[in-house]
Amino acid sequence: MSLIDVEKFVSALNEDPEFAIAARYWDATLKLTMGESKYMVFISGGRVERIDDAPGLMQDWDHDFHITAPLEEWEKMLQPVPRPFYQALLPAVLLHGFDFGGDFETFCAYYRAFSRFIEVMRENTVTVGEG
Amino acid sequence: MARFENITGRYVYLDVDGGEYRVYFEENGSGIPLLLQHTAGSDGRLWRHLLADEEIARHFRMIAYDIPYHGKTLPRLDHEWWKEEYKLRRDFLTSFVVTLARELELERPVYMGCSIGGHLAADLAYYYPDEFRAVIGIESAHLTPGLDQRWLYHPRINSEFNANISLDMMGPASPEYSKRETWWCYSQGAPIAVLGALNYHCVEHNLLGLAQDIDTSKVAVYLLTGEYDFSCPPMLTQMLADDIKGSRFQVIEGMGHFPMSEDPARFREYILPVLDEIRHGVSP
Repeated sequence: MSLIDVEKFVSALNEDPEFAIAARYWDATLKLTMGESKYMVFISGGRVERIDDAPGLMQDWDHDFHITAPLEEWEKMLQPVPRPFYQALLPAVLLHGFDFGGDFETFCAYYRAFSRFIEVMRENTVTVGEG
Repeated sequence: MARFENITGRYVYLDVDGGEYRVYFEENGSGIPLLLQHTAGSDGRLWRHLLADEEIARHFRMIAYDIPYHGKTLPRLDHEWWKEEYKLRRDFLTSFVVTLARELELERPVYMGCSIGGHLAADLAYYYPDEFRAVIGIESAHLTPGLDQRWLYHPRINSEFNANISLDMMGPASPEYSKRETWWCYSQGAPIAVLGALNYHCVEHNLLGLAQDIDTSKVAVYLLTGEYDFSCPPMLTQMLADDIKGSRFQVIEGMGHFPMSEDPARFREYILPVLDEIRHGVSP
């Protein structure tokens, strides 16, 4: 089950004025793991170049950040009005079942970009049941 | 004709802990004094909506002040503060508020504060029970364990980081403009202010083993915490309320760490009944 319409999500991120400001000068590769599904997000100069939703064997090894959670955790995160502590990545890592990793300094610098990334994903989620 | 708010601002000089501070405060209303304490790193503007509330102003003299290093209250002029790490101390903060109340000749004021101000509500009730008729703690707990806080004041991190975290500490359904205004106030804090104030919040404030000695027959204690506050989840405030016999605790549904500024209209619905109780002398 995919929670993301990849094409729509990439367009939405690149058309989002707030993400453009928050992600300025950002070059990074993010690996999202949603249950069994993996996505590689390639960001260059603050724009999302592409999202690979079917990385091959070992093609998901090289990344700067990972966000990992079971599918049911993502479903809760991506509700239009999520339950407490699913409202953003940081509380979901601190108090729920999300795992995050990468260079912490860069995470701080691009904190708002990460938050906006999740918000735009929430606005472009395919189908999410009641979490 | 110009449209004015009734809020007025001025400065008062206070001697606290051997130093003189030029302290900024804004006020509105008359009646029972109501002191309003801001959060770490921000300033009294977080209270501006409540402060302008004319229904409350009919019965309460609301006073929103900036503590040193915050808002318009500068560090001391006679102390080389730039040569030391700023650390807000519990003794200083409690003395500061008590001194402000005494200098303004406030008679047993009500105190209300959020975040560090919420913790301070409980500390004032414990250390100065005879000074206040009631304390209202918003986002209060026995203590707040600190995470890795180096990043809150780090040469390689823009202090906008602190404001960005504050945005995620608010309720997802709180009005966007109000959340962004809260962010704005945070973004204007001195880079050292948040981390320095968290020395009180995460290190020196600790009422474990003490909170049960707070005497609510002397000072009424009201506690309110936002449902979405991940820095002080409601469960922590519930534990504090359980320890303070006679206190009253309410979860503010849908809101996070900054109820008074992230959704002023809905916060009003929660706080008016509390203020009415205090005004009519009903203990919680």
